[in-house]
Amino acid sequence: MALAILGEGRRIASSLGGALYAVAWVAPGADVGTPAQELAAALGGGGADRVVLVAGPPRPALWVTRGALLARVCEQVRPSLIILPSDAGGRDVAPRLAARLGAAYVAEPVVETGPRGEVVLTRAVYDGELWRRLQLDELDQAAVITLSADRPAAHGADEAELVALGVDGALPAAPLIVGERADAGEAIDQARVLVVAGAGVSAGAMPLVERLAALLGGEVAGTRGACARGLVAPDREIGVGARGVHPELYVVCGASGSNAHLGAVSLDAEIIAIDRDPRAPIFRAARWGLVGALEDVLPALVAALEARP
Amino acid sequence: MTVAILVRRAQARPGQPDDDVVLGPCERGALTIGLALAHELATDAVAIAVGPARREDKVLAMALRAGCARAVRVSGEGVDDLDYLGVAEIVAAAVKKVGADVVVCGDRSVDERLGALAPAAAELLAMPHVTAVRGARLEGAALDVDHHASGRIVTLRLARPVVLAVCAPPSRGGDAPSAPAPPAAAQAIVAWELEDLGLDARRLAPRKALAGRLRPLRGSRQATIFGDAAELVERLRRERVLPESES
Repeated sequence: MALAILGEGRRIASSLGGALYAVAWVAPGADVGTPAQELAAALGGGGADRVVLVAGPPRPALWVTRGALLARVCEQVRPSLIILPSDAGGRDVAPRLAARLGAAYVAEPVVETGPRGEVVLTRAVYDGELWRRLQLDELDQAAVITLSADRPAAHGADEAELVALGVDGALPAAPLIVGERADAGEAIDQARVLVVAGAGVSAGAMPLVERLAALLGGEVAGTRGACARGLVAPDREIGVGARGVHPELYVVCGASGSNAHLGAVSLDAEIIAIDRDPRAPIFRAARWGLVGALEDVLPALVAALEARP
Repeated sequence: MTVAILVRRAQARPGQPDDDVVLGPCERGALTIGLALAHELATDAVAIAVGPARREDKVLAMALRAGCARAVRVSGEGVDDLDYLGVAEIVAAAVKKVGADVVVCGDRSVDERLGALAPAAAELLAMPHVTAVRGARLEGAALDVDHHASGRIVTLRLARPVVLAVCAPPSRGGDAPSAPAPPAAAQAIVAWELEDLGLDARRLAPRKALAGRLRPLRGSRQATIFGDAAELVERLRRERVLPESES
């Protein structure tokens, strides 16, 4: 995750003609000496010009534990762009940091460089009908963005200047962790292939959905409608506010393609849609489609996959 | 002290209510958890929405029916065009006026999906916040809050005041919040203007530029529809769309 974010940061910093700082949380004692030099070299290799190490990372990685220290780093470095990973911690910290700085905030934008070297951030909104576009050189304020890790790493100089900012000070009191349990749906987060049952899937068609997932080496998930009917376990629900996913291949069976569903699926997922209604919005989001009753189409699809070329 | 629940009507396009979805899944979760916390705290829940009456009154009425004691709508010139921080400033001012020490809102809306309102409002209110909240309950004077991190559900004990950004509730069917509801809600929706909160639309206006310009998606995308499954699979294999592990 870190090197992918660093790689995008390197490309943006080069476009803007600025220096790239990497801020890393390290165990107490690892912010000095050989461990620090080794980490700085690794981050330099990933594209960083300068490295700030903050010792003693408190858990969990949220604003209530880390925000104050990160804000102190930003007060000293005064960056024009701050990039955080688009994970649970980054999504918790980034908007609040932006608010503290009075900055613009863009979640998971597409980052593009224009012909004049300008950096443009775009993100799809309103079910992909519209884009929001923000150009960094038109801002008077800083910008804070979150990025997912599906970006290529960069190659730097294998060395970076270690910068001591003295921001560690007294760590804020971390909230008491009174419980922790595994998330039963974690496999969905990691899956490269997802086969998703929508509200249009009948109980009788579910074994076909499961067989399709098995043939593709993927996981079965469900939309809210399918989970509400008990066809798919609730921790396998995909949707805004439920679970966001970043698969390579996303096969959607019997789902219309609502905002609440597709808003939680990464834009670069290859979508195959299967539905009886050719006018369903899912066919505007999908690249490939099959139109027909699931009870007819799914057996044929399973048979075609089982037949080796 | 009061529980403030931020509600917002889903929009199909900017300024246009989505007729198919009234409350997004996260706002539904916020309403459920906010009402449950108000019940545990033996206090009132107040629903707050920012936007015009034609759009937001439907969700406020829904919140009243679900059990909120009061509903407040804040409107004003240009509020729909503000970025996350401009809206957060309005929300923070409304929360202060309501006097809430627990603020609950949806983690992400279905239309913009930014996930910034709760953290930004918390910053302006100088309250701690937690996002990706799956559940919350009273534990003595504190709250135990279930936060969904990568692969884990971590339960944090937090003192009040606090701002919680809630994910969608587990799917159990139906859209009605599960918190106890009063017999009938005949309460009126209270309308506040920005001036009632000591805010000036002209001072907020510069935040419009930071929302980013809206542009229509170039071209219209349409899936390639295949006549039969075998034809699709052949094409997918040819274009190496299927994973190598396909068995």
